[in-house]
Amino acid sequence: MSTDGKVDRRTLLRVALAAPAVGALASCAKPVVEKSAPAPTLGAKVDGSKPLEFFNFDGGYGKKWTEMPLDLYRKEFPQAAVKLTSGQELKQQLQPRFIQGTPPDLIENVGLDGASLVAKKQLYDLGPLLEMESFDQPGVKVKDTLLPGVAEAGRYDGVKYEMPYVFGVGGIWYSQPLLDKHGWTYPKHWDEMIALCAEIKKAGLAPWTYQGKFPGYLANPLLMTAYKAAGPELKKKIDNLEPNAWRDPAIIQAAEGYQELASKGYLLEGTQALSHTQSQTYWAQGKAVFIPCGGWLENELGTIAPKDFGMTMAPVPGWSKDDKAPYETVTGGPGGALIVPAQAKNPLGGLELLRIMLSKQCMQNFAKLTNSPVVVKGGTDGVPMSSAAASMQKAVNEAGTNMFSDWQFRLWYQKLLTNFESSVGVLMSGDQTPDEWSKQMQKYADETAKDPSIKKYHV
Amino acid sequence: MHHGKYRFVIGLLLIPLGLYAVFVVSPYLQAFPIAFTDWEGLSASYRYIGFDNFVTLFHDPVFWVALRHNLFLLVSLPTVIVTLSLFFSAILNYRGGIPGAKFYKVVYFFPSVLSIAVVGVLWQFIFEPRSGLLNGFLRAIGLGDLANLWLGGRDTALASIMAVVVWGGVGFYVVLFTAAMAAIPKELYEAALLDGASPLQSFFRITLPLIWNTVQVAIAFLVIGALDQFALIKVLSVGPGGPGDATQVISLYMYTNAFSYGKFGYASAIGVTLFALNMILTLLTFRLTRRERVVY
Repeated sequence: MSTDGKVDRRTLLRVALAAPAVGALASCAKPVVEKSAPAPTLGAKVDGSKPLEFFNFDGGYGKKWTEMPLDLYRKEFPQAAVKLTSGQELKQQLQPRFIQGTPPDLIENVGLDGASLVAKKQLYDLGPLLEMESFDQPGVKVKDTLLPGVAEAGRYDGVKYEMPYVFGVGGIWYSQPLLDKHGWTYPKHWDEMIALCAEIKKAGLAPWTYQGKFPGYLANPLLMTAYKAAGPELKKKIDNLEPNAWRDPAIIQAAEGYQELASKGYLLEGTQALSHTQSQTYWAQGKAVFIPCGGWLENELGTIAPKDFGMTMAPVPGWSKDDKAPYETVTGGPGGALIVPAQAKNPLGGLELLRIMLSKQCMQNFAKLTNSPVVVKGGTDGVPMSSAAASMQKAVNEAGTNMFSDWQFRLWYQKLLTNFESSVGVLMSGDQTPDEWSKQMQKYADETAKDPSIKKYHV
Repeated sequence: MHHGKYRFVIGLLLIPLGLYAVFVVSPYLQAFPIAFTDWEGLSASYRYIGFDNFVTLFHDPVFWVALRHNLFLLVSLPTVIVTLSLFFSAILNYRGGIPGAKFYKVVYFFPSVLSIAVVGVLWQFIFEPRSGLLNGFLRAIGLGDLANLWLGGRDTALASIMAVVVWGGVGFYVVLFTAAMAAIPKELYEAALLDGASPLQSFFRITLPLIWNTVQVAIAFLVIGALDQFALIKVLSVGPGGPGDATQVISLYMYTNAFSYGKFGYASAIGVTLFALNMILTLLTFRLTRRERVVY
């Protein structure tokens, strides 16, 4: 799931620079004029002689997929100097450029806080793009080539600022052949999960692992188990920062359930200190049976996983038979965010490149290279689907309407998200009881609710 | 002739001073006004909000946790590193230098050559709980019970990172102290020996007082260093800053506020506070370690 990726797709080698004072970070800060977003015009001509820069997040999906759309743009506008920049630390790389007023023309945004960018009028309205003609399907508008929900996603107060490009779901991953070999079936409720874990442990395998250094990966499954027990009301309460939302019995009981994984020794030894690459590698080597992750897992693992691994994703288990939301519920749908900065030098070019990217050929190319479902109709036609991609497709089909894109508080409130993810690490280390943990989470939520400097949204 | 000389000196200094002013002094100065704004670091607009950031900071529990960790490092790092370095250099200098002293000096100095990011990544592999060097070693010598989560454990995380700092820091101070010790005239030791002084006595009565100036400088360096530790913690720790806030330090919290939470104003307030702390502690260190200067 893409939003997980916003925070969690990290790089192992994070080259950190010692900054003696924040002054050093803000050295080129504070020009005085605030540029307002230019009014977007429908059908304005792209100036083909203007240079164009696309910033690619070189993470789970890599950058190979960008070649085709960039080449098509070059073919359309041979005079344009088209530049690809890549990186993984968008905050450090792009924030100064936003402040200086020289951002790239199109950004694959993983890392910049979209809500804040919108609040500060830093993004270009992508609405006109939806009304344009599709790049490779004459007579069809872009919006009609998209899967349901894609045109609606990435809107803030009704204005379309972010364009998703993948259609992903998040859940729990396992190797189907491994389960078959032992005659195990994937459990639909948490008590069955714990019972299965006992069996797995007896068989000499570690039942679970997760990306311990970034506990956010486990945070979402925990919420989903709670969601299935309590129903959609819970999500609304939490997203709206309502008092005592985190004190809900469903949350506490889910925390108990997940903590059991650690306290009963069902985690791969050392999990809490493993990075995402380390834990995913151990999992792909068959040392642990279950791991939570988003749709990019197969692509990120690359050749590490054996060919016959049968990588499969299933929804997070619910709590019990009395659950108020079906087991099939998944977070997912359109994901990822391509954005055009309002201050871009060539916003129409950025928009045009985005139109090219959303073409059927480019999306199929993306799907083929990254093994990920994409946002346009027929985007995966003719693309051989791996077992991972097929299992995600199946989850999407079975979920039907029981699918929502994400917990909104994760997109709206960066600080609460960080607090939440790190608190799940504390929970799993056993340093807090589930009740203490839920009290702590409530405190964090209250802090965000009370902080006047954070802009509030509501569902 | 004086005119020409000054012009020459000024000409030489102009470029480095200019660079220093632009890239060091000016950002530091800018942090002060930014600390009084609500700037979020994404656009060019901001409001002045007086001392609000500092009031919030004072009531921010994470800041106090971070400060506590910094103070812990402040006391422990100089103590451990100075003691160890003095011990090693005294041994290297024992009776005018033990055999292989030069070799050891180079070996001790190795970590100082590595960039801090490399050190961090290196130790990440050593601390890795499943196939890391440290746990592997403990298991191999039959001490498997001592194998630990290290960076992933709340009680061990900060100490683990501290160990890396010590590992990386000792070498530099060994070289510093050995150089200082080598400058002490041999006659003093010979005289002490004739008077029947033990090696321990001559270390505490002769060596230490005579290199005190160097030790003082070392302590000041380490105190300032203890207030930072951003890079290693960012690379090594879980989270980073975790688990929970177990390895949270002021500099990292400042960074998180600026780049994750989009609170550049608040982060600058943290920076200004850190600056003030640094000033006070440096002055304090020099005041407390002041002694009679021995001239020889």
